[in-house]
Amino acid sequence: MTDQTRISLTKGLVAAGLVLYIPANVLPVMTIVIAGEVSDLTVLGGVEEFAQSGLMGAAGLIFLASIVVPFLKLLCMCWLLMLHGSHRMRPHRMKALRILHQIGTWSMIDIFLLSVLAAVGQLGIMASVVPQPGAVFFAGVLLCTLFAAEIYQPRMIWRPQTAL
Amino acid sequence: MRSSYISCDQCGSRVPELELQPGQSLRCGLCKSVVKRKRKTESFQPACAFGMAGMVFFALANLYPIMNFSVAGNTQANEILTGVGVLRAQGYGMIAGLVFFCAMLAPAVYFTGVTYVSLACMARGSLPLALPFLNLVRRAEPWNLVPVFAAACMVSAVKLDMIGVVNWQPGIGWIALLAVCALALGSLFDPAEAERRLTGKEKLP
Repeated sequence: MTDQTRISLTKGLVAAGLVLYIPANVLPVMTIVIAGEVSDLTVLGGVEEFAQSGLMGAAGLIFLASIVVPFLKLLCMCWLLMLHGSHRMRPHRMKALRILHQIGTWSMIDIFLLSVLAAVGQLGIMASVVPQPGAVFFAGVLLCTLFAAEIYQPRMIWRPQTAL
Repeated sequence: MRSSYISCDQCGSRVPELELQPGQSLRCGLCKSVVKRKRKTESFQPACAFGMAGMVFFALANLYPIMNFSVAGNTQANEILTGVGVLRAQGYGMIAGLVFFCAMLAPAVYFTGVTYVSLACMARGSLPLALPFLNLVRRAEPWNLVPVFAAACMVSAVKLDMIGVVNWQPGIGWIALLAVCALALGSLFDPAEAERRLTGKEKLP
């Protein structure tokens, strides 16, 4: 794969991630039924529920991993793409890409959470958890950011710009 | 003593290769990444041990249930694969596939690959297909999300505890141990060092 193809793919994935980020946060990711009472939960709704129950640690973890990290990843990738080919802040860009690789995968915690909750939430009207379309958009954002960070390789930061 | 050049896998520049003493590392002059490291002790033996332990823990983590969840006398148990099956049955095959890949397939490939490559490195590259296995390990590593899955299990227990009663089962212990192995291998197993050993580019003692 040429560097130009990599840049084009990264741009496409970042743009797709930014578009998908909106429905991923607006649409419910799961529906929880407890004793017949149905409630739709968005990603932020899940954070609020934890916070209202006084579980600030869990709320903070989900907020960081599911809302802050994907957004920061998309912003960071935009910054890397905007500065691509320039000599400016190369060590900082390198460090940013390294951090993206290290923390980026923690966004998957919400998808795994859905998987565990759906697995045990099969008790019919007493307690059930059903995924909703927001989860698909959320998984789409994660895949876009993960692939974008994989495709944009560190060595491309140090190469002089080719015609894009 | 300078003898040849090695390529920095971060920025691609050529770095003059120096003979290192145990505990020393060689950094790229351009991007300052570590391009070569000589550990004080051989790292392939502990990597092999953690890889083998990971394979055993992986099998056990998939055999035993993670937790039992009870509401008003009704109880439901779950294993790693249960969530994949439920998501698929509910029409969310893409999410089921993602969970299966990151929590089952990639970890299985990663632990098996690290074990085999470490054995090949200890045998000075005499095992067949060690380099293709190393490439598999490199590809599987970013997708081995067992520590994230372990954290998700903890958070889900907190959530479920608000609704009903959660009883931990042995599976969570195996998942926690598997996560420890994955984190340990992340710092112990160096694919660049393994490649040098397997291709014979490393000066042997």
